[in-house]
Amino acid sequence: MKIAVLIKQVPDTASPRSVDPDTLRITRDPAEAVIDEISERALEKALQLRTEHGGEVVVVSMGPDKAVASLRHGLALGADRGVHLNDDSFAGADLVWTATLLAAGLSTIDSVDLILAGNASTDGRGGAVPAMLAELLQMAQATSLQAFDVVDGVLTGERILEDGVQKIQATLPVVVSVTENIAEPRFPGFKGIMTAKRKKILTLDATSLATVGEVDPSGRLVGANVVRSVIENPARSSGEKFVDDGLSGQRISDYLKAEGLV
Amino acid sequence: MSYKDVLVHADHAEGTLHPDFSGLLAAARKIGRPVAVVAASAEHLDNLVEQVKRHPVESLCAVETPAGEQLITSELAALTAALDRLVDGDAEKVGAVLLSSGIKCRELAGRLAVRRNMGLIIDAVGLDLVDGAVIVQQSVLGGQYSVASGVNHGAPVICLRPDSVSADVNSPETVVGCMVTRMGIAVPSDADAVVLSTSEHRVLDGRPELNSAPIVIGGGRGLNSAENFGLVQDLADLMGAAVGASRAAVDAGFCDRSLQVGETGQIIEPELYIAVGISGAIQHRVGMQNAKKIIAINTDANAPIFDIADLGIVGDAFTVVPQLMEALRDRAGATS
Ligand SMILES: Cc1cc2nc3c(=O)[nH]c(=O)nc-3n(C[C@H](O)[C@H](O)[C@H](O)COP(=O)(O)OP(=O)(O)OC[C@H]3O[C@@H](n4cnc5c(N)ncnc54)[C@H](O)[C@@H]3O)c2cc1C
Repeated sequence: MKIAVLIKQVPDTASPRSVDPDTLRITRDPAEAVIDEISERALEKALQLRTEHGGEVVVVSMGPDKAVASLRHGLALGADRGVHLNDDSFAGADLVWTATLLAAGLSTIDSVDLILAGNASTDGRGGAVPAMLAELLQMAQATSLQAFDVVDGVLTGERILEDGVQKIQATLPVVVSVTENIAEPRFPGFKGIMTAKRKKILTLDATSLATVGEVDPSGRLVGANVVRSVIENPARSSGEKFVDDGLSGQRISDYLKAEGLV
Repeated sequence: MSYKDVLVHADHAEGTLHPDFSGLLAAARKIGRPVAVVAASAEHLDNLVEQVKRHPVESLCAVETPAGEQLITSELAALTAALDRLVDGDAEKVGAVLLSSGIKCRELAGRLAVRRNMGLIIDAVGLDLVDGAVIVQQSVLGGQYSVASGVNHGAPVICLRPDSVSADVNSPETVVGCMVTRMGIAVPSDADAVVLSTSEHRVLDGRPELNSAPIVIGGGRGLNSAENFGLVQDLADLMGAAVGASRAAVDAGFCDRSLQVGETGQIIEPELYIAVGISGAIQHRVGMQNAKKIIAINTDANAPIFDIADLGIVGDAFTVVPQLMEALRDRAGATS
């Protein structure tokens, strides 16, 4: 089975994140750039599938030079090779353009059975890119899966929605997106880190993607998102804090009354 | 300035119209003339048409989808057909396509944008028409920033967060007749998954939905067990509130994952959020710090949740919450 896993490098959710007032984009520094946890979970599932079915796991990431670190991390965890979509013109790509570029990058990998991605990234949160890839690559989508198996070329999985769970089935090739409970990511071992250095990462820029013929160079211009303004909202301040003295229930109830909340 | 048509997706679950629909209509009316589209199999369509007609909308496109269990392509084809019909050779006629922010709606929106080469904006919290252009407000990085954006060409496909538009203040009370156009579509040939079975609504237990409830009670790891998590549910029931949870509470199996609030859960902006036994990790705060009022109950006086709480109680949830419930019952008793 050949599996491509989409890896996204994001600002660490644990450090302060901000929007750059000049570029109007999320600042990539000073927040430390890390591999998005959901990408690690998707990769973990891919590695488990490789153990079960054999085959190859390719990690694919779009991002600037430093996104190589996240691809190397994926290789250290056990992926076989990497594909890095990197071009200055990709910076700040909106959802449609991102999906278009990823689809072009993914179609350079021959006969993929599964494309695995997280259900939503922590910086973008759009949650639409996997479905858009299915549309662009004309593959079935099996998205928002909390569990799935592949038997004889058929995927069966549990799709979790706001109000219930659907049991779904699709014939490979399939674009899959996974939710947080798909798998617990492993940690890279020393051996993994060492062998990762020898594994290959193929870099594709705008020209090499364009030659694939999947990208309409004017595509970006049509319907692209344009940010008009960014306003920083005042940080939230705290109100009064009381140590419980047996009267807290009454205190909260009075507060709710005063604020018109009950 | 000309007012354009805004296609409003009327989502439904097994023939019951989604409650977000009225908010979508209200938002659509701010930027144009709403035209609803509902896609369903023959079994549900008539009934859904009646449900839509109870809302203030002048025009409805009812698309009958072929029987079958396609995950998404039938509904996508129906939406595309309704859009094409509205465009009718002149893309200028349509101002926007509006959907809700549910998981499936985002996917429909994304695929429609790709299919018809339109811009896509997800997680909108407000819409405006400025010099004829649709401007979309988003709240990013957990509400730290408000971003206004639009698309540089054509009409955008927009997913609106359900808590962002409440009452349709501008809408006419009753609409004099809704013009219903019926269409059918063929079985799409696109690759798709099939839905084998659906199990529904196992978690809400009659409580309001987390992403649109005015009051949310959030429970954390501090509650210690699924059984004790019942305390949060009891308080929620008393207050008519929704239940939310931290990831640690979800991971520990106290409640269903769909109740997770935060970075990788839902982002909510209720009138009131009461955090019970939640430390206030940054990934949790991202999901709830835009609540109008926040109350925190935590044994640790240094828990970061207190930094954003309007009222903080340093105390044990197992004594404070029952006290609160008693005080609320007394109050209710006194006023009734
Ligand atoms: C990529 C990523 C994404 C994440 N996404 C999310 C997310 O979406 N949502 C989320 O919530 N977290 C998320 N997290 C996890 C987050 O970092 C925290 O681990 C989590 O929020 C902690 O949950 P908690 O506050 O319930 O648990 P803890 O941090 O363990 O806090 C428990 C609290 O309960 C208090 N307590 C204990 N006993 C009592 C008592 N009897 N009465 C009152 N208080 C008591 C303690 O003082 C403590 O403050 C994410 C983390 C990462 C890395």
